[in-house]
Amino acid sequence: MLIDPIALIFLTLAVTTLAVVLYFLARAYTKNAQELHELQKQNNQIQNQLAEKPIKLLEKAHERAQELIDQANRKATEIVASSKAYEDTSNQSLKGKLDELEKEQAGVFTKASEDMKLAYQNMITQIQEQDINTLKTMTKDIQTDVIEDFKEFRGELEKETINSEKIVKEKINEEYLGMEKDLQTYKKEKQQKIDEDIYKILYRVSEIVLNQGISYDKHKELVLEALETAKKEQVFK
Amino acid sequence: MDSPALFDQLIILLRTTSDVASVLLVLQEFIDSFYSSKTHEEQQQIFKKLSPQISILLTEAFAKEPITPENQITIKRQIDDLSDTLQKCKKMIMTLAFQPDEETTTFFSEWIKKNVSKDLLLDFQFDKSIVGGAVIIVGGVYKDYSVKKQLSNKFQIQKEEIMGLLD
Repeated sequence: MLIDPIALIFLTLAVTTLAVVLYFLARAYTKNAQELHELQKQNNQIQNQLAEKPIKLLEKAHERAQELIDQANRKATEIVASSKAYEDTSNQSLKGKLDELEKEQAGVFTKASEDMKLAYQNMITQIQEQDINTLKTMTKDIQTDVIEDFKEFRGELEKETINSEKIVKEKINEEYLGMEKDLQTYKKEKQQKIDEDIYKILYRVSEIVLNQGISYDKHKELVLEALETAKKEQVFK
Repeated sequence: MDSPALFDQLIILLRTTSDVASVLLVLQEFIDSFYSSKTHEEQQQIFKKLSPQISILLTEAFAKEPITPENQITIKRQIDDLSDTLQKCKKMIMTLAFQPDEETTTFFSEWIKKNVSKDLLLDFQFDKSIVGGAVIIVGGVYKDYSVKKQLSNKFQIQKEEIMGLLD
């Protein structure tokens, strides 16, 4: 097999190019690897430095804070001491003023109380006098009212009594008339009943008397009379 | 003797419904004797239970001769006819305030036969409460001729007058 010389040249150039590219790539990789290694080293150093720094800072801060606290304590002690003295002074002053005020107020209150007591006493006396007068007036009024009411009541009572008496009298008269009427009716009915009874008794007595008093011949005669009457009345036709 | 003639004679002698009832009873007994071992005399004795006149009349009519199988049918028919006629007789119910004796019964019966009808029989009933007189029921007509009724009428009419007497 014969290879084309152009193709062979082309192939050779391509391989060469690739080898060059590969060389540069390897070189670049090596360089980058070195740079990375350096960076890692620096990073470690920085980390070590950073790890050591906060502790120192903390220690420093602690010391500073302790100093500040001590200063504050000292200051506070001074303030407390000075305020204590001021308080004592103030207390004494206030106490004195309060005592004075108390005395002054007590005086004022005593005076006011006495004034009020007097005013109240006057007022009570006045009210009592007014009440007594009112009661006296009320008693008189009540007495007058009661007498008037009583008179009125008495008048009404007399009037009512007279009216009641009149009504009762009328009622009695009415009842009496009614009863008299009933009595008359009853009497009439009874009389009628007695008359009827007497009539019946009389009738019965007549029957008995006739029955006992009729002789055999008389009976015969009566029957014959009955037959004659029947014949006349044409009962047998 | 035929039945109508016998009836005419007999009805004059019969006064009341109870007389007729007695005759009917005796006639039935006489018929019953046809079928018994009674002798002729014994059969004649049956009629003796009635009044003498009626007894003679019935004996002459039915028991003059002995009853034989030949004549018994004829005699029975005659008796039956007579019984029917007697049962059909009209009657008058008379309520009286006394119990009439035989004489009085005959007296009233004769009056009826003379003045009303010979075959009208009396049926006496007794009620003391009517006081006197008679209550008559005949031919469906009711008539009260009692003293009680008259007294009641008198009391009704003269009530005021009677009540006036009481005052």
